[in-house]
Amino acid sequence: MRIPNVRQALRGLGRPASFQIIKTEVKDHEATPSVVATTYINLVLQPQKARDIAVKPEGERRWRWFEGWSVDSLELGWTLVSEKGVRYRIMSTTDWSQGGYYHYELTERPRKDCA
Amino acid sequence: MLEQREVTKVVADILMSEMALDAEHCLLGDQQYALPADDELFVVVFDDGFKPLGGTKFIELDPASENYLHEVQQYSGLHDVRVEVMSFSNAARLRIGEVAMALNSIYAQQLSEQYQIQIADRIKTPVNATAAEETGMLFRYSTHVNVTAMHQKVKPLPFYNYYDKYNGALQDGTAKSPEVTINE
Repeated sequence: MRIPNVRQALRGLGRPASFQIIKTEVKDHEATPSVVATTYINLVLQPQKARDIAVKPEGERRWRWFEGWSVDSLELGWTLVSEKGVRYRIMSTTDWSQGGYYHYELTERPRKDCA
Repeated sequence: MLEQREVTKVVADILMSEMALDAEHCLLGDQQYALPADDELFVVVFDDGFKPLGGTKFIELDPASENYLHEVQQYSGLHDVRVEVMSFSNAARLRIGEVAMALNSIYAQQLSEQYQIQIADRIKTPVNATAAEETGMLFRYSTHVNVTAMHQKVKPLPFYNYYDKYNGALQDGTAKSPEVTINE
């Protein structure tokens, strides 16, 4: 099956922005967040649709959910920190790389000390 | 001096070593950490609370300076440690019995002596908590083990010489001089 490649169109839709990438590693049996890189990511974000939030487990529905599209491959569990200090955690990834992009679900994290 | 380590971490140390797991596959629970993407076995250790058994305090000479006293506070507790063994393959079903063996191993005995804890010789009956997770069945077995541990805190003696300096002040605010004075 061939999927139309929309990579170039997606590149034109957004503008790369600088993000800190925080990755969680296991140290002494504990998940320990650490900044691994600061890089430019072309990530198009929008609030997640209400019908997608409605089917999430109770307690998670009031979180600030976003969905994003990017030509860059990001990993599940990473936290992205924008230049304004807003922290987004990648909660799910869908690989549409045959079509030239990746789809993500993210939550905005209000606490600074959580990754 | 008592060498201390969190009870759940000691249990995790034992399981990681005896079941030949790497750091990514043996961690403490209740943390925001994504499940490993592979089909390998992974073990999560939870602290389900403890029952306080008793406590004590005593004063001893600071071994470093041998001039100062410090207060040693201790309590012992019976910890309920939950061990969950999971995998997307059948490894969890096949290897759940290894938890009992690992916690009875010579390495477990060594760590128990090092950290002065006592791991119960029998785990509780494992419960099958297998359920659909993501797009597959996650084999998941949950068991508990009791661990008795001593906890200790050492601090400078707070009211050293307190009674030597007691001026006889009463609760109603009136001061009363000590009846006995020692003339040196």
